[in-house]
Amino acid sequence: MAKIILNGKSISAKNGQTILSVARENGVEIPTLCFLEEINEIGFCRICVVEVEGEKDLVSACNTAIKSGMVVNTDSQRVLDSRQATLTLLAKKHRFNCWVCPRGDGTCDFYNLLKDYCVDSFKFDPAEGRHDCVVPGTGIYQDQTKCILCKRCVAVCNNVVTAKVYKFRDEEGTDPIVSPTPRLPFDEAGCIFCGQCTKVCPTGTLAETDHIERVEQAIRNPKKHVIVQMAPAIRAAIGEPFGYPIGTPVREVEGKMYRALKILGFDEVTDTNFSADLTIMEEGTEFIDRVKNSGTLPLFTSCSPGWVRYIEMYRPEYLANLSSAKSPHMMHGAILKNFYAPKSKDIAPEDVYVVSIMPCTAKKYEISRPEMEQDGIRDVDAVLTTRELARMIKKHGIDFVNLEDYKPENKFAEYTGAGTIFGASGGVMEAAVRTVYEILEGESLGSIDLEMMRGVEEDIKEATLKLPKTGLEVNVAIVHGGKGIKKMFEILDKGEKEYHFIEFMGCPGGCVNGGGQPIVKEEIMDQFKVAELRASALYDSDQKDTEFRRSHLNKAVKWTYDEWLEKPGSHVAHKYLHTNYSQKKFRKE
Amino acid sequence: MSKEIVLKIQELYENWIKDDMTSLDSANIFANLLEYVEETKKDICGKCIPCRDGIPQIENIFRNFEIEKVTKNDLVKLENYVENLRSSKCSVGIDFGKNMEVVLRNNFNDFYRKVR
Repeated sequence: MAKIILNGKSISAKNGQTILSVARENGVEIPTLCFLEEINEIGFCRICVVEVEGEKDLVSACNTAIKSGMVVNTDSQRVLDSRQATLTLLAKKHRFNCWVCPRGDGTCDFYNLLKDYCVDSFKFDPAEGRHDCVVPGTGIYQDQTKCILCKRCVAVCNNVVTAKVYKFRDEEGTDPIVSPTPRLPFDEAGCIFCGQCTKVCPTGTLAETDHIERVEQAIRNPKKHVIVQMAPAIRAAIGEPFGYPIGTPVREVEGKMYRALKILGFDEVTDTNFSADLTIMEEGTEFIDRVKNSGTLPLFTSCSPGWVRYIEMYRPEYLANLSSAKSPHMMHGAILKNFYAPKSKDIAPEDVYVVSIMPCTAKKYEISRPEMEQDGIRDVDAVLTTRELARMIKKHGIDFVNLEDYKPENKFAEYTGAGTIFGASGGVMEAAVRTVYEILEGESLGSIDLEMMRGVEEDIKEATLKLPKTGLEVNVAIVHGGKGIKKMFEILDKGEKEYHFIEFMGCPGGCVNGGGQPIVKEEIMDQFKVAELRASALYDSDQKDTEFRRSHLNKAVKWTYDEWLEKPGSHVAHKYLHTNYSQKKFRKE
Repeated sequence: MSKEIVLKIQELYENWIKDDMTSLDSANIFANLLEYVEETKKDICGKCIPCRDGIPQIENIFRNFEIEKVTKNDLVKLENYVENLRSSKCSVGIDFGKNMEVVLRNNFNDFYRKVR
C-alpha cells in the first residue's frame, strides 16, 4: 500500500494504481476525453492533468502511477487554467452545429466539459472544423469537422472489435487525422458497422447514419402503410434516455414504448420478438437437418449482421457453416410485406413501409444488402437505433414517462420469453436449445433457465447438451465481441474441439450492448456491467411476463406456418426467410 | 539560420536558469521566433493537444505581431497557450513552452509595445 495526499487529504492506495483510479475510488472527479479503462490509456488529451508537488510540469492522471508520499492537487488554479486552455484549443478546431448534432442530446462529453470549464466562445471563434470531410457509410459515418483526435475509436476498433478499420495518420504532426482508408466509404474499408466506435466517441464525429428523416417522410405519406417492429433489446434500454435506471424491468417501459410508436404515427405496431421465435424454428430446423444429414457443422448463427459482415470479409472460408436464415427483423419485414399486408389487409407490398427499431447500427447496412428483397420489394425500408427513436420521441414532445401502456393487437407482436432473451449474449442459443431439445427428445428440458449460457464476463461460453433418447452429445458455444470471435476462430482453425452449434454476436455482451443503444459514460458504468443489467431485464421478463417460454409454443408463429409458410424449412420459408451469404471485399492500407 | 536560432533560444532558458539576464535581439524578434516555431513544428508528433494545436496558434499570434495587428487579447491568449505547454506529453512541447516563457518574460516590452 502507498500513502498519498490527494487535495489535502491523506489516502491509502494500492501500489501501481494510477492517480485517476485512486481519485475515482475516493470520489474525486478528474475529467477525461481520451481515456478508456484498459482500452485507451494513452494520455493524449491532457484534460486529466494534475499538479504533483515537486514536478515542474503538469502530469496526466490517467497514466501516471502513484508513489508513496506523492502530493497531488487535482483542482489548483494552474490545473483548471490548463484544462480551460486545452479545451479552447480543441474548440478552435471543432464545428459547432450542436443543434443538429446526434450528440446534441446532452451526451457530448466535449460540450459538457466546455460548459463545466466556462470556455467562452470569444476565446475560440471562429471555430473551424479540423477537416472538412464526411466519410459516409450505410451503417455509420464520420464527420471530421468534429473530431478531437482522442483515438478512442482507433483503440476500440483495434482492441475490442479487432476489425482495425481506423488509423491515426500523423504524417503531418500539426494536422493529423483519424480515418478509415482515405477516400473510401466505411462500406469498402473493412468496417463491420458494429457501431462500438459511435458509443465511445466523445463528440458527434462518429454516429449512426440517420434514418429519422426518411421514416418521418414515410409516416407523412398517405399512400404508405407504415409498420414498425422493435428488437428484443430495445425494451431493455429505451427507458434510459428518459431517466429510467439501467436495467429497468421490461414491463415498466414496454407498454409506453408501444404507445409512443402509435403517437408517432406508425400505422401498425408489431414486435421483432415474434420473428425471434420464428428464427428459432428456422435455425433450429436447419441445425437438426445438418445433424441428421451430416451437413456442415458447427452451425453458426446469423442474427447479428455485424458478425455476418465479419465472417464475409475476414473469414469467408467458414461461410458454409453460417446459417442461411435471415436475421429476425429481415424475416419479419419479408412476412409483413409478402404475406400479412396483401393477404390480411389487402395492401400491395409496394405500399407497405417497414421500419425496424434496432439496438444495432449494422442493421442499417443489412437492409441495404442487395439480396434482402423479393421481386424488387425490399424486406425492410428503414432502421432506427434506440437512440434515434428516443430523439424522435423527444422531438415530437411526447411525455414518455407519463404515457399509458399500450398493447398491440397485431398477431406479429405476439412472442414468447425465448424471443425476448435474443437480445442478450447466449439468448439465441438458450432459446434454440429449449426448442431443439424438445423436438429431438419429444419432451421438454427439466429446467429451461440455462444459466451456463448467460453472463458477459467470458467472451466464449461453452456447454454440452446431452440428449439421452437421441444418443447425441451436442457441444455448443456462445461467442460475443471481436476478441471472442478471433479467439474462437483460432480454436476452430486448430481443430482443438468439436462444436456443433455456435452463437456469434458482433458486439460484446450481445444486442443489449449494441452500437445503437443509449450511451452510458464510461466513468458512470463499465460497458459489461451495462450489458449485464440490461440482459437481466430481459431474463426477468422471460420468467415473469410471458405465457410461454419456448419459441415453438408461439401460437402466432404456428398460425403463420399453417396459413402461409407450411412448415419450418419449407420451400416457401426458404424463399422468404433465408438468403445467401458470400465473401465481401474491402481495402485497407 | 534556423538551427542557429533554435540553439540561441534554447540557450536562453539554460542561462535563465543560471539567473543570467537573457533576452532576444529586439530587431528581428518575431522573424526569429517564427523560424523557431517552424523548426519545432517538424518535431511535433501530433498526439497531445497543448503542443499539436497550441504551437500553431502561437505561430498565428507571432504572425500578427510581425505585421503589428495584435490586441491585448492576443497577448493574453499567447500567455495562456505558452503556459499550457507545461501540460504537454513530451519534451517537444514542454521545452518549447519553457523557452517561450523566458522570451515572454525578458522581451515583454517587445510584445507589449505592439499591442493596440
